[in-house]
Amino acid sequence: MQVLKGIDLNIKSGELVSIMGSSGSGKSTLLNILGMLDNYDVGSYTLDGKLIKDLSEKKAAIYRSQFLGFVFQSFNLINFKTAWENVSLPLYYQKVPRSKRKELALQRLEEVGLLDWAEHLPSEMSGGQKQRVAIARALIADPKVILADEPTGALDSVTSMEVLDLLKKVNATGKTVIIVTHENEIAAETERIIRLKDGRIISS
Amino acid sequence: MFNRDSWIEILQTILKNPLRYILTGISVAVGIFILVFLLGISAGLTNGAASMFGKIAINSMSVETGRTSLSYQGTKPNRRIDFSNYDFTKIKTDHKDEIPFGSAFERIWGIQMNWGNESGNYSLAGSNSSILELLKLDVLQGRFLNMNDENEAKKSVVIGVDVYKELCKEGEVVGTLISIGGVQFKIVGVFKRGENRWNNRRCFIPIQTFHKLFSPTDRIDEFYLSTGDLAVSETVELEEELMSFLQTRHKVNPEDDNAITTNNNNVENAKYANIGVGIKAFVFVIGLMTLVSGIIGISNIMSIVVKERTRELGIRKALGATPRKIIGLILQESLLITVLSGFLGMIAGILVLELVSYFIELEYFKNPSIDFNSAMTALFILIVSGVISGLVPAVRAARLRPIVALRDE
Repeated sequence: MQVLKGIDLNIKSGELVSIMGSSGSGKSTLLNILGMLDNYDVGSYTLDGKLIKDLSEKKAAIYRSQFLGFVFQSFNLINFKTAWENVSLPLYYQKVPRSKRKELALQRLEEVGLLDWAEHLPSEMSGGQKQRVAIARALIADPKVILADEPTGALDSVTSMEVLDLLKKVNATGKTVIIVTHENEIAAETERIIRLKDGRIISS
Repeated sequence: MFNRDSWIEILQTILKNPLRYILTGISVAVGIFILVFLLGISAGLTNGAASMFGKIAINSMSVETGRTSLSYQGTKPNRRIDFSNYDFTKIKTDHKDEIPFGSAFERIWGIQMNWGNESGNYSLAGSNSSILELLKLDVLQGRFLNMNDENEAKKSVVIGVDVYKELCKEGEVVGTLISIGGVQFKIVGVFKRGENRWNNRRCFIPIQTFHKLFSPTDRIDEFYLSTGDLAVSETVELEEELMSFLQTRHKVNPEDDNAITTNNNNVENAKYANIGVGIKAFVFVIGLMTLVSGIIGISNIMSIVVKERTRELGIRKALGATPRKIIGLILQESLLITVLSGFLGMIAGILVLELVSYFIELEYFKNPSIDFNSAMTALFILIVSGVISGLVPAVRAARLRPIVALRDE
């Protein structure tokens, strides 16, 4: 089935953009392609000058850990790992030694204001705290792009704004941030809104 | 794959999710336990059978006298049959091709023996030197009787180990004198025959000496005959020939089972060998089934574990885990679990066997231990099957696209 029907999109380094669209508009598919979580059949996708197409699983894994940080609606923290262990997991797959991992993870947790929660399990935290841990995790490997899929979808409006502020701060450090959302309030805070409908961009 | 960091990662996963690993572990441990236990029991039965023959040469037979139970050619029942030197020599000469060696055997059940200041009542047997091999005696000190002792009817004696312990306590006794029924004998050696106390409370002297000193006639109670390398069927024929010769000579009714009895160890051993083969086949089949059910159990649990961890594995992939890393994680886990619980099961099995051998004393059940090689083979098979059964779900997990794994339900 053809989901995306001719997407012509260029996101510059350091941009803060949001992708909007109703369910079935193809926004999740677009995000998954951007995140190398899914393959595409026709067209091309270039990231930092590299053509991302028909990657082997291994290559995709390496590119993901080099270029991308993910933030999910449902946080996707590993429930038996503490906050700092969750944050440091991407570094484990980059063969960083454990003590160094902990040092970097604590640094990131401090940046998101959760240093005191480093030894806590996700089950002991609120939704907002979990999402901040997830953002710290997305940042730890110093990626070029943060992909956030409905990052505020499971949060109340106050917490949503806190998380959004955090993402804006991340963007201010020079990282490209792409947020998929269906909430106008969130999208309005970004520099550019890309609207999708039936697999096409209707405005950007 | 096997660096310290990945072991920490795996140990953490295991320790934080004990239940599922305990379940896997139990199925492996029980499998190995049953296998070790069965192998041990079968070894015990086989050892038991072997030990029953440990005290006598397998390729031998014995012929024993008794009392008649039927009248025959004008003789009354309950007549005592006595073999003589003539019988023994005649049998040995007539069957010299079939019987390479043999020994006559005559005994006194109890006779007074004195050594130093100690004294006791022991059994005394007259025989020749071949009895050493026929009854599988172990010489602990000195030597056994030899041709010289026989030919010159010397007053030489080989004492049983219990006689040695009770009369002589510790120390060298070879060359010292012992008084047997008031006659001075020279001790030439100390023997032991198995663990049976009756066998070890006995002394052997040459049968010629026995006849000269303790017997008014040349009566012989029993013959022990080696059958060399005759086939079992040939020994049965020999047995029948000897029987009919002795029955004719001693006027015994051919229907009389009590007057003269034979004991063919070739036939007995063949029976036990068959039982041994049966036990081995039985254990093999049961062991195989246990192993198969263990393997099915492990692969079942592993595939459930992988399914349960779909999301976690998806997260790991999204964060940069390569398919190899995912496979490595699951394989290392199943390896660790199977090795650990396999060892526990094996140790439990060995402990139970130790308990069994400590508390159960039966003549046909001895030393139910499992040899190191079969234990290791069983463990190895289970580890390999644990890894293989982990491999299928691991590969499936590695192929899983993170997008599917992370989909919100």
